[in-house]
Order: sequence, then C-alpha cells, then structure tokens
Amino acid sequence: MIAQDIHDRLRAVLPDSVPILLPEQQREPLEAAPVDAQGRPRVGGGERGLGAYLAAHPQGYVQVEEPLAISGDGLTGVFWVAVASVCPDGPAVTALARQVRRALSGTPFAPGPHREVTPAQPQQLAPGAWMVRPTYDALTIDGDHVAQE
Amino acid sequence: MPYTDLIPNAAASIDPSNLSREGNEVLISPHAAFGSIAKNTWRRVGYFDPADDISPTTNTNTNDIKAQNPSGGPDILLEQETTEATAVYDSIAPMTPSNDIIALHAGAPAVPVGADGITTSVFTIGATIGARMIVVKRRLKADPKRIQRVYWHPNVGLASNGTVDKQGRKAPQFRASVLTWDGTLTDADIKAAVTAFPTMGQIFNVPNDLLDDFLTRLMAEAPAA
Repeated sequence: MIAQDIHDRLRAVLPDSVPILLPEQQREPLEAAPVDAQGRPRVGGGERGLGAYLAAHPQGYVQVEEPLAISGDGLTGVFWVAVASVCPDGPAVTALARQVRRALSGTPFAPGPHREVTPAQPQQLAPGAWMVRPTYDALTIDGDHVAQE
Repeated sequence: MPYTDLIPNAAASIDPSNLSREGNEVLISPHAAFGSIAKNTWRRVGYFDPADDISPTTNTNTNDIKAQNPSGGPDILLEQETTEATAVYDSIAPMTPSNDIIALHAGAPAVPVGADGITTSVFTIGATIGARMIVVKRRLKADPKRIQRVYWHPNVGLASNGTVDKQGRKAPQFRASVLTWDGTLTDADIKAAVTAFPTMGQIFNVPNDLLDDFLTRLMAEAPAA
C-alpha cells in the first residue's frame, strides 16, 4: 500500500515525537481534546482541535494523504500523494518538510523513489499552525508499489 | 516443470523495486592548472536537470570484409571490422555551475588585467581542455550493498558547447570527448583489474557503503605528470 510504504519510510527517519498520520487518521488532529480521568474530552478543558493537537505534539506532525490515481498504461500506475507537514511555526515546518523531502525524494545526486510533482512553500493555516503540503508521485508496477529498498 | 525453473533471474526480473530514479554527479580534474583550479584537483560540475542523462553517445564505423562466394551469388560477409569507435558526452549542462565551472566553459584560463580583479581569457573556437572525469550514477537505496555505477575516464577533451535554456535561465553546456589513456595505475586492486591499455575508461560497480572510500581512491588515479 502506497500510504503505508510512505509512512514507513518517514517513520524510519523522523523522530518518534512527530506523529505520521495515515489517510484514515486525518480526523485525529481535528478531534484532539484534553481528556478527563475517564478518557473523555474534558468539559472546560480549553482549546480543542488542531491547536490542542499541536500543543500535545510541539514538534509538529506529518499527514500522508490518500493517493490520487493519475494515469496507467497497463503496466505502470502513477499516483500522486500529498504529504503535509504541520508545525506551530514557520521555521519548524520548513525544517520538518525538508526532512520529509529528503526521506521521500532523496537528493539531486541520489534521488529517492518519490519525485516531487507539486512543490510547496510554508503557509499559515491558522495562528499557531503552519503547513507545507507538496505532492509526490508514487509508481506501481503490475499493481505493486515501487518502494525501493 | 515450468520453464521459469530454468531461469535464475525469473523472480528478480519482474521485481518492482528494480525501477528507480538515478542521479548524475560529474567530477572534473583538468590535466593542467586552469585559472584558480590547481593541477590534479577536482571540481564538481553541479546539479543537472532531472530529465538529463549524463551518458556517452557512441559511434562506430565498420568496414565489411567480404569474400567471393565460390558457388557464385552475392559476396560472403566474413567479418565486420570496427575501424573507428568514438564516445562523446554531448550535453553536460549544469544548472548550478560555480565560478570554477563557468571559467572552464570559457575554454581558456583567465589571466589578470592589471591588479584590480579584472581577468581575460582568449576567445577560442574548438579548444579542448584535457581532463579526468568521473560520472557517479546513484540510486537512493537503504540497502548498503546496492550497486552504484561509477564511470571513470582518465582522459577526456572538455569543450564548451554553448548554453541551454533551463526554466528560462541559461545553463552552460559542455561536451566531453572520451580519449584514450595509456599510463600506469597506482592502486593495487584497481591495477590488477584494469588490464586493457590504452583505455578509454572503466565502469565500476560499487556497493553503496563503499562508494565514498572508492571515489577517494579513484580520484587519486591517473594524475597528470
């Protein structure tokens, strides 16, 4: 699975304090809330949603989005996957996005399996939340994801 | 028994992970001192357009050796003799050339005009700069034993080949004709493996984790006297 392979590739290089969310976990930051003793969202606990999630994970998080099928020629399938890095401030998100880029796309002299097809610059989602959301390509050969080992 | 049992690479030949992107890194070392480039020192050419492949274009001329057919009919072709074989890297166009590389593109070393920092070089046509060249073709892989290829040419003729447009910016373009070299290697292992002289160069297959050390050894080979 493309999203799982990208998640594993990022997990190998990013610190454990940075959550890497799969497409099915997209609601987690939005539903983040301080919890009470029983584990339920606490009434009067303060901010909920993205702000609370970033407060709990100050080093930011990475969201791997659902791969979008672009084209196929019978053997090769081309998918585009947006990988969003979100951090509380601009410099941090630039640094996190750079680590993501190196892990997926390699360097110009040693390229990785995922070519960046849509570049991105940091943009502010809300006060206290910055995002860089480039899109990378992912290939499948005969249905199997091309994830170099 | 299925026929694939007779094929050792049956599974490996259809492995999706064999399809991978490749990067090009080109290192140049002019035989003679060139401006600020000291003799036998190396310079890296720069980043290349991902669509560019730094590979030689080869050209061979053959001569047919024919014999008369004893039973009549058309002549018998005995052999096709290769009379000429050339290899040229037609387009080495770095997008991020440093000042040293731009100076090489001028074709002749720059000499100072006065002492204020102005320099000048001769406007030459057809001049080539003798140099050693290493082309490293790398694929990013976690496997430390992944084979990376290194092309080594101890003698190329580097020439300017105009400029090319890259995203609306101009990148200098080089042309490197692969020439032959007939000298003595110093590294014992490499010397034992390279036996055909004069040589146009070698293609080395290097495991990922040994690449750094190997390039250091290779860069010391075939220095200009």
